[in-house]
Amino acid sequence: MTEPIYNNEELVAEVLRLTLRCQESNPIEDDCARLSVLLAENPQARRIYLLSCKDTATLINCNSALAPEPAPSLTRFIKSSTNTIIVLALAACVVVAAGWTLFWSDWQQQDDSPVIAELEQAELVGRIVSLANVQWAEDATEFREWSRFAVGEAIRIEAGVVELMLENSTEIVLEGPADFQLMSPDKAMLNHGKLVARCGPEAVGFEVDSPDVKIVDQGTEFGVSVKQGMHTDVVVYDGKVDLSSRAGVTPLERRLTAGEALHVPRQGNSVRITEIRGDQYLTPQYPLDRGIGRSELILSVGDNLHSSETAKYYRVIGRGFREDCPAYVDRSYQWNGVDEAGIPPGLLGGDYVMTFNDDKIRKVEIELELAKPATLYVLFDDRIPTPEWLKKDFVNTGWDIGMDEVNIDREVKILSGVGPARSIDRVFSVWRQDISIASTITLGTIRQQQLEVNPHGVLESMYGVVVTDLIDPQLEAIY
Amino acid sequence: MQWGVGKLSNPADANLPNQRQDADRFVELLGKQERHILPYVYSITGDWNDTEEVTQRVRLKLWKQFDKYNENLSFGAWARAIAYYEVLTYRKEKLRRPDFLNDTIISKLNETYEELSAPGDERHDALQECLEKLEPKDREIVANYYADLGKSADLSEKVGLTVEALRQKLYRIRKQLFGCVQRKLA
Repeated sequence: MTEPIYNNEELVAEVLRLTLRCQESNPIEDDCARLSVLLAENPQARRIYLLSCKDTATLINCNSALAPEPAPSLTRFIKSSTNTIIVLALAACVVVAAGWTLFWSDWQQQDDSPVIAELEQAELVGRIVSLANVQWAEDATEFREWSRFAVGEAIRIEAGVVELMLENSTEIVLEGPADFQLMSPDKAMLNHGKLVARCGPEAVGFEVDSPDVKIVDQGTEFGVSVKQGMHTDVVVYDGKVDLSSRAGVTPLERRLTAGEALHVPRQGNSVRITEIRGDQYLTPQYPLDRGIGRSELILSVGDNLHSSETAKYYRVIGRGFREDCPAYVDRSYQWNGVDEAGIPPGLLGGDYVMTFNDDKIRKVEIELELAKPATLYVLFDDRIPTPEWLKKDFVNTGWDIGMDEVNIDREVKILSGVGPARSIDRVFSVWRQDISIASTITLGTIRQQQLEVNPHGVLESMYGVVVTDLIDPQLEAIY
Repeated sequence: MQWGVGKLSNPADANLPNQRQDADRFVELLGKQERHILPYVYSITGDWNDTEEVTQRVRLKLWKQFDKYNENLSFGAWARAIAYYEVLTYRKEKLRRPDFLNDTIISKLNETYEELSAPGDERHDALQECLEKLEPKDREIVANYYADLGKSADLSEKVGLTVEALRQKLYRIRKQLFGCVQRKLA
């Protein structure tokens, strides 16, 4: 560790400064470009960068070493305590040389307890693989990370997130408050709360019940949200599920596929869920979506389609428009820059709507409710003649954006290119309208007549929608 | 997290005593490597939330493939190799990625990491000793900043500095810590 690079104080200072800046939530582009060049070209810079990352990880872990999962009373104490506790924790980190080792050995000691020994006799079905900010319900069994989870056991939490992995390759994320129980190796009950499940090929047939519905996986990712005594919402992100319900006025039996969502009330008929937001439903990307899920600009998205016509939803992603971001709720397509310059800067980091590509066969109008003045962009497929509503209300920016048409099924995965200018299949033009007051904007249809064909056979794609803060005309030169 | 592939338990887990032995050995090895895996993943994701996600995937992958692990090889090297590919896979799947890290740079960082021969416990311990030497106020800033994962705006209010002043302060502290660690390891 005595290489001369560390005597290069200037380089250390520069790399450290840039690293800290670029790992902030809103880094300055020039700083990151500079860091990128240094890391690409200078081995010494790479060493300094790696060491500073190690230091950062140590510092973060020192703080998280407050308590891996102490008794609930202690958890509450720590959560409600002041900075002093954090500083004490940092001091504790100095004393405790290996937090994780202690955690694991602590876990092993716990494993020797009579309770765990008893559970070992039960059939091993899964493990709790992660706990985040969990507050257990009163009288609930409290689990530790990597603890066993057997049939008959329940997860009851007031808050936080629990990730569970079952032997049949089903992975479940629960967000509190929630009450979840494993009824058998292939069946679970969600009494209330939110979960997202991803079931591998071995888990086809895995069932999640709620007081209102029965959901049988057919190889999929799906979310469930149960409000006790009120309703169950089911959202399919990938693959398909079979949904049935005896609740409501009319018994329900239907298959939901990717991009579809239904609201099943305790009383009344089920209806389509028009819009999915990260703060309302758990998504497969959770917990990653926590940072990007909430839109401050888009209040709501709706359309003129009735529940009898479709169960497809729109998904609003705040600050999420970037390279390789998913374009549609019902296709695995991605937005990308058409050349190495990447996505037009004006769009980067914008809030956007994942529309559904089956929309393209319908005479659909999308209504977008904006919370404040904004710049609205429509990304329109160059293969389709420009419709009048677009020409009338929008200006063609001259920017292009690419669509990487990824085709994924459960057996064969055709991976997309990563980053700009890779595997671009289609080009879309970017149209812009400045909206000076908070209002509802109607976006028109891409065709004048509905087609009675399989949308997968139509070689056109639905438009995308991106919303950014209203661009100050004086700053427009930047773009 | 690696969704939907493989089984949680190993083929060797046909009975409980074997399973227990495997789990104990796995926990022992992982416990030793955890502090190396986290910073390694962090260096190539550049984001702490992503790091936690990828590290969790790595743990799962290691556990799933533990029956294939050859005890004659370094568990750390095996874990890093899995971590490297998990990050690449993750970058393909997920939305977020830092603009300053492309695949070429990640590959170079990976090579450099190997050259560094896993800067391990010595650095960790040295940093902790250096933390002790900080002024109490500076130590509090570090503690608060990393407890909140860098929410400068919230912390700047607490400590009565502007966001930019806090950023500069933190930078100076980190530079001081870096220098202190290097002197200890020299």
